[in-house]
Amino acid sequence: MTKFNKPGPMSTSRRNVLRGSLLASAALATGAAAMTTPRLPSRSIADAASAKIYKAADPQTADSTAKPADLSGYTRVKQELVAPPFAPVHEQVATGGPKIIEVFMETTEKLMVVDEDTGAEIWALTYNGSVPGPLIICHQGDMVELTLRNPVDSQMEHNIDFHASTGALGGGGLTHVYPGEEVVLRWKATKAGCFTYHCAPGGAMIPYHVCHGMNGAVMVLPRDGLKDRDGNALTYDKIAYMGEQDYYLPQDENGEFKTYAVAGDDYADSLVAMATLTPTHQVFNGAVGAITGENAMKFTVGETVLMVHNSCNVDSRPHLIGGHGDYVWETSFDVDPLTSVETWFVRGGTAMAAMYTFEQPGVYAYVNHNLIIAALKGATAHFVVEGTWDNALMEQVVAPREFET
Amino acid sequence: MNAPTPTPLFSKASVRMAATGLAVVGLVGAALVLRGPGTATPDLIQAQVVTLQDGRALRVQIREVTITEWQACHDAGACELDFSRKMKEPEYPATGLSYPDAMQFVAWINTTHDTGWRLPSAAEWVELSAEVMPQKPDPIFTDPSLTWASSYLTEASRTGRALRPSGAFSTTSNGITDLDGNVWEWTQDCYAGSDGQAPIDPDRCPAFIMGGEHEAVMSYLVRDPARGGCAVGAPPAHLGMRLVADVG
Repeated sequence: MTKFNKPGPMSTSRRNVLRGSLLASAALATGAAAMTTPRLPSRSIADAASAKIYKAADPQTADSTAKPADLSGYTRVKQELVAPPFAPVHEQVATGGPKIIEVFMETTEKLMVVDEDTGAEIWALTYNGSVPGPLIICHQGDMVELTLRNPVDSQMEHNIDFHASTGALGGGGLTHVYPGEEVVLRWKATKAGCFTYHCAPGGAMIPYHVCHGMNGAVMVLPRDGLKDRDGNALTYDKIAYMGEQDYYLPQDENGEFKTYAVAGDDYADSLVAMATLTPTHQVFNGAVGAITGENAMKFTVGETVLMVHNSCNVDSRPHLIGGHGDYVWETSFDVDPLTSVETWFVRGGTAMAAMYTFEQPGVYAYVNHNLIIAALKGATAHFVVEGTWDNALMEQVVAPREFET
Repeated sequence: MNAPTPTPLFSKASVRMAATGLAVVGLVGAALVLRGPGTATPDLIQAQVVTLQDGRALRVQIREVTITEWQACHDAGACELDFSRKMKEPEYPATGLSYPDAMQFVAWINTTHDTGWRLPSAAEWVELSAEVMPQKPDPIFTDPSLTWASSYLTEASRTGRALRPSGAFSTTSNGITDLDGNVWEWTQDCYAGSDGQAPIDPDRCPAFIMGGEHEAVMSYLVRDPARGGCAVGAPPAHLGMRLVADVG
């Protein structure tokens, strides 16, 4: 699915370059001169946007008036994050008291193939090297303590905005890390539901990072697990974690997708492409076919899947072809789930969950049922389900045959 | 149970060969009528004569029709698609071709050559490629009720989906290249429905059998079998063409 082709650390005055790209154009000259690879000359749009960027915190000159958090009663646990479409090991119903869940993410910039057929590729900006970033799972009342590390060989600064969190732009204002820096952020999961998270360095850099793959989801489960409208427990056997990613890849005058030497070099071209609001690709898990064919997810009849769908930027309306959404939580887990849903809705800028128990074997297609996006832009995943066919649910009574004319 | 048994498409195709044989003759005949004074270079199509198991001699194009060859047709005003922006070294196969596109090229080449070029039949294609084809994977479902899903491929393609220059894949003992590559080639055989009975006029054919690494049937209008939507399985990566001609 992905191709890793990362150059080593660029020999440059890193901090100056980054400040140059983020602050006014006057500072840019110094930064550009320090780069070992040529940058694109036309950066006026980028500079104008960057001038309005959020600043990282100034040096503190006075003690904060905020009280220290009371962490008594919390148990520290580590959650090993895994690459999508899989989910980390977790409890559906919380046992014991509230937890501080420690997670680690690295802001990895990597060259990824978006569509093998055309060779279209992108310098993806990622959390832990995957698009979407890994799924984090906790329970309502838990705290998530993230260590966010920006590798030394990165080109860009990164941060993270958790929609599940409260304050400081979702943590975005407290987590700006430059290459070679790390930051630790702790936030309390007060709302139950699925929430997106994404990089938000400021200004036009926000959609640039988001549309280069830098987004993912947190699922905050109710402490006593998921319930139907009558309060009966709903459990799942597996999670299918899918991130719908819109890409806007710059093309040359011949319609060929352009290539770039390092992350960030496509910035000016990307702004132009993004401003069309027409994605060149809209895919699940980073690339066309990332969850089809040899990468299709496997289930058996009788298994229940919780489909967690993250879409940080664009609206989507997923449909499971050949199946349904038995229970669908489009917003939070506080509300009763929708039931027996044909096609559900993912508000751009959210993550949500839908639950289904497989009743027939075969192949299911999980698509954005804007079928143009599904078939031409790539938003299709496949589930292969083993089991015994149920003729009571469906049967081919007569195979195709000629009829009398 | 009335569901058909999961028979591979190609074995049906060979059965249907007899049924579509007449149509084949018709196609070649039409091409002969169009033949006229040559404008392209005589050696535009490089071919190798292969003797088939039934004793027939077949002239087979060594490479899939290339970008340069296609562009000669476009420049002559006979092929709609303009690949001038795709011309590069080394030579690549012409892809993004629908069945009508392919037939434009066939019609044009036969106005400039006396060879009587045509698309191969599915059976000819299978025979030509047999020695370089990978083992066919077992179907993932064997229950007759799941025939509709049994050809779904859950194993990785050996070739990947990125285009490679002409000649980059295997060469047969007869010197024919790229049959096992990631460009699927149009055959002249109409997919005659799941019962395989009805002979269909190629001019009215909704879908043709493709020659390629795994079995595929493609709607005649498709140029890019995009992955996704309701379609199940791994569709061909790219669609192209290769010419053959009967010798003697």
